[in-house]
Amino acid sequence: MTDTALAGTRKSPGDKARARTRRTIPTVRHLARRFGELVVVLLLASFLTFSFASLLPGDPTIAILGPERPPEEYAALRQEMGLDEPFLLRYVTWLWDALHGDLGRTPIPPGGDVMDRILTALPVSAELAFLAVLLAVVIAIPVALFCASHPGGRVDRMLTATVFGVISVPSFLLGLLIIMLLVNQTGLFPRNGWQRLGDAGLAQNLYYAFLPALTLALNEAAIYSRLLRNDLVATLREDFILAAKAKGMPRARVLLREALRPSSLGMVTIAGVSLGRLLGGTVIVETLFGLPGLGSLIVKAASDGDVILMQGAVLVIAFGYVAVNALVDISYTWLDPRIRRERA
Amino acid sequence: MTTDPLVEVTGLRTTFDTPKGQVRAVDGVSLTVGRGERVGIVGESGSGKSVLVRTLMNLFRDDPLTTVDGQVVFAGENVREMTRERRRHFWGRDIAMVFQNPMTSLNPVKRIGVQITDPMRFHLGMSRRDAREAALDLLVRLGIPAPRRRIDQYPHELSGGMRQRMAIAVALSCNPKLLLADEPTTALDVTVQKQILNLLDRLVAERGMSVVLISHDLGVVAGRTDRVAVMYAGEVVEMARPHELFRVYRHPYTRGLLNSAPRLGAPKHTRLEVIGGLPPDLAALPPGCRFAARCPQVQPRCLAERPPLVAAGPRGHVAACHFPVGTPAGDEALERNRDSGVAAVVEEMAS
Repeated sequence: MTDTALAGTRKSPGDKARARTRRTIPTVRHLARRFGELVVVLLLASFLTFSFASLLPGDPTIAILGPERPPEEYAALRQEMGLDEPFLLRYVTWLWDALHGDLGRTPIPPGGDVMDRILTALPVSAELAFLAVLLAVVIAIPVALFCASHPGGRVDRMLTATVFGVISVPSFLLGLLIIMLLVNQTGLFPRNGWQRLGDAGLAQNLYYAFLPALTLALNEAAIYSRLLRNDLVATLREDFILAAKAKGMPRARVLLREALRPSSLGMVTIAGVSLGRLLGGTVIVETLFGLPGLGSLIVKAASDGDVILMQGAVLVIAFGYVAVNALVDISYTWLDPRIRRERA
Repeated sequence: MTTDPLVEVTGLRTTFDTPKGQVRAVDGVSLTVGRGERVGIVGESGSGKSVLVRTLMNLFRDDPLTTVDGQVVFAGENVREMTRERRRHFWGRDIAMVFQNPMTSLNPVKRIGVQITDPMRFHLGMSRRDAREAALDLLVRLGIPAPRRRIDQYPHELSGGMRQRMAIAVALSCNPKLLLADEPTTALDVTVQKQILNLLDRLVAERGMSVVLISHDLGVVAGRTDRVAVMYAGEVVEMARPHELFRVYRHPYTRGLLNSAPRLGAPKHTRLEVIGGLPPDLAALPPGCRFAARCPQVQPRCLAERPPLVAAGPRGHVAACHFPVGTPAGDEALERNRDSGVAAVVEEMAS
C-alpha cells in the first residue's frame, strides 16, 4: 500500500471540515443566486399584476361612487386616489408601500385595509393548499410504488383507469360526492365552515379542513401517482437498481431507498406548481364548503370591480407561487446531488 | 481444483420472451467453478456471457418474461430452490457482482460510503460505525487516496476508474465466496484497465475467493484465470486452461478470436484477420453447429448435427467441433474447403 493512501486515513482534523465546506459552499452560492432570480421574478409579477389591474376596463371611481354622479366628484376622487399620476410613478408608489406591508385601503364595501383582509383569507387558502398537496403526496407514493413494482399488472392497469377517471371528474362533482358519502351518509365530518387554527386548536381545525383538502387532493393525487409511477418504472430499469438487487437489498428497500428519491423530481416539481396554483385557485371548493379563502376574496373583488383589493391579492399569490417554486428548486439539490454541482 | 466445486452449473438454459420470439440467450451451458478457482468467460457481444452469470445468480427470478431451465448448485445448495429466508443473504454475502459500467451501476443520489456499508449492515448486521470503519479499510486496500474524503462523496464526483474501485468495494464488502466480474474494465480507459484488473486479482487472491471473470478480450482473461470458457451464441464451445487454449485451440471460433486480436510483433500493414459474418439470430437458431455459417472448415455434417462438447486435450480441455482445428479431420476439412473454394468464400467475407 502506498504512503499517500495510508496518509488519507489518518484522522487529520482538517480533512472532515474541508469535506464539509466543499459540500456547503456550492449550496450557499446556489441559494444566493436563486434569491436574486426570485427578486427579479417578483418584480415582473408585481408589475404585470399592477398593469393588468390598471388596464382593466371600467373606472374604479365609478365602481366606488356609483354611476350618474357629477363629474367633479369623480375627478376629486381620482385626485385623491392618485389615479392622475403617471402610470410608472403609481406603480413604484404602490410597490414601495407593498414592500412595507401596506397594500392600501379599499373604499368598496366591506372596505377596510387590503392587507388585513388578505391576511384573514390567506391562512385558510394556504392551509388548504398545503394539506391538499400533502395528502396527495401521501396517497400517490404508495400507489406509485405498488404500480411501478408490478408494471402492467392487474392493479397497475386498474389504477391507471381510476386515475384517468378521477382526473376527468371536475372538483365540484368530486366535492359533492365526498359530501354525500362522508357527510350526509355517515355524518363523520361537518358539512361546511372553518375553524381557525389559532382559535379552535389543531384537532378542530383539521376536522373542518379535511374534507375540502381531500376534495382538492384527489385530483392532484391522481396526477402525482401517474407521474411518479412512470418515473419509477424508468428508474427501476437502471443498472444501479440491478446492482442494488445483486448486493442483496430486499425489494422494498430497493424501492424505497434506491429508486424513490431519484424518481421523485417530476412529482415534486408538479406538487410545487399545484401548491402555488391552489393558493388562489380553490374558489370552487371554498364555495362548496363555505370557506373564507383567498379564492373567494378574489372572485368577490373581481365582481365588485375592486381593483385595489384584487391587485393586492394577486401580488400575494404571485409571491406565494414564486416562494414555493424556490423551495422546490432547493429541494432538487437534496433529491439529486448532481444538480448542486451543475448549477453552482 | 478440489473435489468439491463451489458452483456446479448443469444444462443451464435462459430464454427471453420477446416480440421476435423465444430468444435463447444461454442454451445448455454446464460449468463448474472450484473453491478459489478463477474462471474466465470470453466471447463476443451477445454470446450470452452476462446472461449466464446473471442466471447463475438467479437474478432473473422475478422476471416473468424469462424462463430458466437447468440447475445451479452453489456450495451444495440448489440456487433456484432457495427459501426466501436463505435468499435474503445469498446475493451480496455469498455471491457478488461487479458490473460493466461504473457510470451507471452506482446510485447517483447516494453517498459512496452508504452504498458500500449498506450490504455490510444488512447482511452482517454491523453497526453504522463499524461498517464505516470497515469500508474505509477496504478503500485503503483498493488504493484509493484520501478515503475519508472519498467515502462521503457522490459517484458523479469521481472518475470512472475510481467509481469502478468503489463498485468493487461494494461487491467485496461482505467478503463473498464467489465474485462475478462482468467485463469490469470494458468501460474504462486502457491505462486504468490494467490497474483495476491487477487490483481485483490481488484482492481475490488474498481472500481465496472464487471468481468468474467475463471479458470479450482474451488478453484480459489470459494471465488471470485458471480456466477459460469460450462462449458463442449461448453455448460454451471450448474450455481449457489458458496456456493450453492459446497454444492448442480446437474450435475454429477460438482460432478466429485469437487471430482477430492485433499483435505488436506482427510486421507493419499486416491485415487483421476478422471472423466474417455475424452470429446467428438467437431467436431462430440453426439446427447444426451455430458457428457453421462463419466457419472456414465447415462440412455438410456441421449444418445438420450439433457438435457436443467433448474432450479435446489434457487437463479437462473440451471443445464442441466435429472437425477440430489442428487434428487430421480438421486439417482435411479446411483443405477440402480451400480446394473447392468454400473457405475462400468465407475468408472473402472476412475482408
